[in-house]
Amino acid sequence: MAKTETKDKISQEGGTGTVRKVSGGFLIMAALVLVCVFFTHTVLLVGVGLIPTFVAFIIDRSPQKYATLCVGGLNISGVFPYLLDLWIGSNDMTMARAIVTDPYSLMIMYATAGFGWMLYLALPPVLASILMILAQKKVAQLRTQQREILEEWGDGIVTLAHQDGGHDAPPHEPDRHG
Amino acid sequence: MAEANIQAGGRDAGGGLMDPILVNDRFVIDPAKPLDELDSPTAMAYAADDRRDPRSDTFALVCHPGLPARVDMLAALRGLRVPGLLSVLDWDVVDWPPLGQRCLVALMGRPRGRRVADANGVVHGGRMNEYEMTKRVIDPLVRALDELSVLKLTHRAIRPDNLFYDGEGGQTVVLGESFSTPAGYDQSILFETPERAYADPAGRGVGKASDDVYALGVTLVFLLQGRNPVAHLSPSEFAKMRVEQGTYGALCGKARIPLSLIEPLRGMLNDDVESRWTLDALHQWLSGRRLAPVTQHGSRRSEIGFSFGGRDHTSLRTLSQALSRDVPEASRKIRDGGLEHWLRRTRNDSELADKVADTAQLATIFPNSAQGSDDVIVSKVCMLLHPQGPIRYKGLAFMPEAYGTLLAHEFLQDGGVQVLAEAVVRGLPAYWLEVQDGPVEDAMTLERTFTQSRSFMQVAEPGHGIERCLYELNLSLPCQSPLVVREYVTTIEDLLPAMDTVADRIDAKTRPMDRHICAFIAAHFPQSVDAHLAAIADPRQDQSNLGMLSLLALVQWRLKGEPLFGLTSWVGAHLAPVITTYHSRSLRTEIEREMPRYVRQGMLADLYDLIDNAERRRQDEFGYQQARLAFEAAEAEITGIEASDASGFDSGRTIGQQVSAALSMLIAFSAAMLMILMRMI
Repeated sequence: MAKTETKDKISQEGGTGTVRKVSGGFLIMAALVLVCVFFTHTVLLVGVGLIPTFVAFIIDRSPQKYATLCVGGLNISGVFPYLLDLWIGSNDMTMARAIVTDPYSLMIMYATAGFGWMLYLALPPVLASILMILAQKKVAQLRTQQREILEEWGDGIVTLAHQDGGHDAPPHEPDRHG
Repeated sequence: MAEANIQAGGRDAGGGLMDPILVNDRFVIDPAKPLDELDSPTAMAYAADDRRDPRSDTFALVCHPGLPARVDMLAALRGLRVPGLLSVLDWDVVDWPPLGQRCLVALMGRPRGRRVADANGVVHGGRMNEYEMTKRVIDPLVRALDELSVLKLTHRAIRPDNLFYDGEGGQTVVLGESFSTPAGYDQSILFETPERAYADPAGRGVGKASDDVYALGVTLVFLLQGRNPVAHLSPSEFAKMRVEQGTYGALCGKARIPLSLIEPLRGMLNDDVESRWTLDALHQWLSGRRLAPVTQHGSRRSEIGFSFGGRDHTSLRTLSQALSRDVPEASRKIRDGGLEHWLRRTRNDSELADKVADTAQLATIFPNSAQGSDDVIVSKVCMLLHPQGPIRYKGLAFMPEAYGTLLAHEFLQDGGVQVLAEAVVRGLPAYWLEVQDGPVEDAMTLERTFTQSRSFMQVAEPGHGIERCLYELNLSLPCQSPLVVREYVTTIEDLLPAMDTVADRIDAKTRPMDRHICAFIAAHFPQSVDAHLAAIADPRQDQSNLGMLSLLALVQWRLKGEPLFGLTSWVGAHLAPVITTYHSRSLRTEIEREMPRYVRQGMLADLYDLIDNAERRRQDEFGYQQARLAFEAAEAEITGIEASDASGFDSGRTIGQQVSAALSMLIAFSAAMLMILMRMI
């Protein structure tokens, strides 16, 4: 008896979760359909203008999707003026078609996306090199500080540091005081 | 102290001219004028003048620096007019050019006549009669001994050649000096009691008045007979005869002794110390009272002797002496029970036989230890056989009270110091006290002395050991450190000035401290210096040198000494290892820069404060710990940076990508806002 009741409970709970997922996806799909029906011209402009972003999304395999964000951000800034023109203007399919078929407009939208790619590809190596140089400078500064300590306090410091941490000693001047 | 040169004189050890020497601004000694007729066996006499009293006859006696003098006696007699004794006017330690070092010099009143006898005991002018004997000899000498007794002193050098004619017309006899050597040192065994005669010359001890009375009795016999009555006997023959006949019988024999002197001589020469005449008895006799006659006889002897060393010994006294001379054979006789059997069967002395058997058993109980060694066994048996005799050990023989003096003598003569140390460590003096038949005067003092000496000897560190015993037992002995031995330093007040003097001519690399100086300070300084001695014994050079500085500084400070520029400089030259104990290099440099200024002040305490200031030490240690932490922190940071080097570039790229994305979004947002605003305007 007890086993039968438990199985029923599980089947009921599992059934409820599936119903929720299905209903959520349905609502999104419904919303998208409604958007496509009522804002067809906007969807056309965004769909054509953000093609580079969609491409970046597809080829960007990193979990953080930095390339997508980088390309997408600048791509949107290239699409956004035309989107405003559309919304402020006649806001119909004719105007949307005019924009997406205008080479100049497309060039602006895709160029900004290209600039996004350039930013994504060029900035990280430069930034990594700058960080490396800063680290080396910090190490040199710490070595100088250690050398000054050794000159003032002698080799015992190194011995103790070795006993405590076992790190390599920095180069230092010979002990003139014995 | 010798201070001024008066005029040109003789020649010193190096062949140079010797100037007269001024002592205590009063006496002028002329080293160029020796007075051979007043020489003591080891002390040389020289002409001297008293500038305060030019008419007085004085002479100087220069003590040999290689022998421990009886300074306590000199100090007690200084300035006293003791009837029957050559007066000690003054004494001091002076630079003595003929020896090229400082020596003890006593200024004495010169006797008006010559010596009574020569060194062989032949009396000048022939034998004395009984009448002049009492008035001219016995009376003044007994008075002298009385005075010495009041001062708690004994003379211990009464013999015919140490008597001088003095007084009006040189009619009375006075005793010569006895402070230039250890008590009894110059005495022939004839003048020593049967107990002390077996001891080494330096080990006879100051003894008691009865020892002086005995020597006086022997001297009187010489004077009565005009010569040494036993000159034809060897010392061992005399010893044997003394055992058989007693001292009186051995010396007087069939000689004609005036009737009136027989009784006092029998009393004075009694071998039994309890029956021997005292000074009181002599006084009574001099005042005309007749005392109970004394029976003189030899020591108890057995009918059948104990054969040892080619001789049959019927007396335990001679047997113990013979046993000590052939230790391996003596040990064999003791271990195989031969001696015990002889004592039990022949002498019927079961108690002594049992004690000898018990001692022999030590060898089986401690077969491989020093307590069971032949030397210790034989020494203990000798003490059992002759309890009043000296401690005999490895060729040395000494009375317990003379241990310190003998130790000093052996030190000065490079002799058997080690043997003496062994004797104490093996507990032989304590055993001597244990085997005495009756109560021993000063037994507690002796026991305490040897317990303390033993504890000193068992510590090998500087300030202890045999050197400490040497100075504890001989407070007037000059410091034997090779550094200052020529300065004849007898007091702690003179030590640092002497070292200051030495500093001017010694190689600065020589360490200004050794075992003798440590022990001398420890024995003479009024407070404990154990902590300083422990520091000096530290195997680390820096700690040892710091201990040396602290000890010398303490002595100078406590004794309120004058600035010692030479010594401060000498000590300062050994402080480099101490300065390096500071961690901070800049602090070291600062101290090194300051040192010359402190050396010029000549105060060791100031130098010590500079070198080992507690606050400075604390700050240095704190700074060192801070520096260590800072070094470790830097090291950890460097390690962290270097460890991230491999992935550094990748992480930089990631950061770059994040920045690119953020920048892109920012641009997008900004552009959107800008365009909206432009449209709105």
